[in-house]
Amino acid sequence: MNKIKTMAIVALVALSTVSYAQKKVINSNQLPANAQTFIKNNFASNQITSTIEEKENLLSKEYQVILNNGTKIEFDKSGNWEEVDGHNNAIPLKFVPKSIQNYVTKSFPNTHIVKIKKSSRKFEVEISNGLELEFNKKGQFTKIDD
Amino acid sequence: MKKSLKNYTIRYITIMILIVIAVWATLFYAYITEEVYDNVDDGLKNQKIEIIRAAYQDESILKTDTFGINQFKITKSDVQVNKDEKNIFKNDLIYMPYDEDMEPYRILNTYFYGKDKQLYQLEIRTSTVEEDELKYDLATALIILYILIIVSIFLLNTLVFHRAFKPFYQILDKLERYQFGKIKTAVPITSNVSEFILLDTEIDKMLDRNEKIFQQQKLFIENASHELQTPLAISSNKLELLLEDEQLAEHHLITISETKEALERMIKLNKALLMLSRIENNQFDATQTVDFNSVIHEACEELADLIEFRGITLEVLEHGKFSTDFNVDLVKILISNLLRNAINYNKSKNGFIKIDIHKDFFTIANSGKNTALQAENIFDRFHKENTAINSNGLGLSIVKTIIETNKTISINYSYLNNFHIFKIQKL
Repeated sequence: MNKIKTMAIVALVALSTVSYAQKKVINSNQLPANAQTFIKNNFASNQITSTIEEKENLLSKEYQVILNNGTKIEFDKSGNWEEVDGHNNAIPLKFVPKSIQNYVTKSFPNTHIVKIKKSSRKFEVEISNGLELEFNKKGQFTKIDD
Repeated sequence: MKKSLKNYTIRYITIMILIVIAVWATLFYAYITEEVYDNVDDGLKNQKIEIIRAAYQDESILKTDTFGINQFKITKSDVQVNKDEKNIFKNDLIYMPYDEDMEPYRILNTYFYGKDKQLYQLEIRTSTVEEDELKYDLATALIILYILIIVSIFLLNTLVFHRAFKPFYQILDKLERYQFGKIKTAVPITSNVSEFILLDTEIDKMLDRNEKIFQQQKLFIENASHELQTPLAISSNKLELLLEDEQLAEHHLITISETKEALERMIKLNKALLMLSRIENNQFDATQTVDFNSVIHEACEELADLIEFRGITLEVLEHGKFSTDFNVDLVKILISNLLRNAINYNKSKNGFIKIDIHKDFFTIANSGKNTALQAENIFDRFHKENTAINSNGLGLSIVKTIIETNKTISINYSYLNNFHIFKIQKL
């Protein structure tokens, strides 16, 4: 009876550690090197308010950085940026592909990019008027996601 | 109620097609309206992009707060916008001055941020298809389609059916016309359809088998009757001899006499059967033009004594000469049988026989039983009236067989004014 109890507890603990994503607050200099470089290059004037390391499962890891102006940046486990969300405020454009910038300026003058998301296949860009645009991985416009 | 084969499946076809069209119509309608709305919605969403773009270039657009010529409306908003519920489409009825009626419209309700970072609600509308009218048009078109399909199937069915089943009806006709002993060989039908050819072949084989058996039977009867003649004659002679024997007692003689009478009946019956089978086997084929009037007179003369003995009055009226192509022997037998019947079934005294001869028919009428005979049965073999003990029941059968083999005349029985009338008529 005791043996079974111990085994059950061990199983439960093991399961719980695996089942949810584990979030851990880390220090900003614990970020991968190129993540830190990215922040230094684009957000030099801002300060980092918090850095979170998120373990999705045993294999993948994500980093979330929140700046003092509310901008949220997400990095993958190698420190490459995945998402930059300005929460309705304009984001710096240095890292945004030129073709995307050109399209936004031409099609929607007087607007700015407030959020950009990058995946292996596409870019998802949200602009200040509320519209969402989609570009392929080369930065060419594909469609308006409405 | 039995229906023709060609109409048998029509009922199921009409129901089936009705179901198919109903189901198809529903799906088609849903598909069409989805396409229409898809298209309309795409147009509305495109307009939204244009309007937002324009609003960023010309801020006065933000002041469009009524659906004017621009069919869109912008109002300030402060709701929390959920990204997933940003675009909301709905249908509405709005008064259209041109049609002077409420018309269906599709309206897109959405949000965007202006250059001034203010949230605005944007409503864009466009007139769309009148669903009711579309339903009505579709229903009408489909009813017409349904009727056309059913009618063409019916016509096609009828046309094809008649062509396809022609050999079948030929076979039916052949069977209908078939009578025992009347056809020599079966004639096959022509057809491309293997099933009908098979059916026809088997039927022909069956008919041939029947004919063969029938012929064998006829021959058998004739042979049997023929063979019977000899032993019957011998028996009769032997009994005759016995009757002449003076050494026999009277009661013995009575018994022998009764036996001989019975034997005589058997001989007569056998003769009649033989006659019948010979007639049927067409052994009385030879024909010539026969004058029935003279045959009738002859017969009356031959039976004159019997007629007088029975106390019957005979009347013969000649209104014309009845003559036709016939076998003369058969005519004699015919008339003789009819006349004998008229005598035997007459009243026991003061009976009457009337013979009426015309060019196309003649009648033999006799008084007798007070009720009519059964016309369907009297010509049957071995049918006897209850009162006749000595009759073998074949007299009228022979008459009938003679007439049927010849095919140029007919016989018919009727009862009128207490007279039993047999009428022979030229066909």
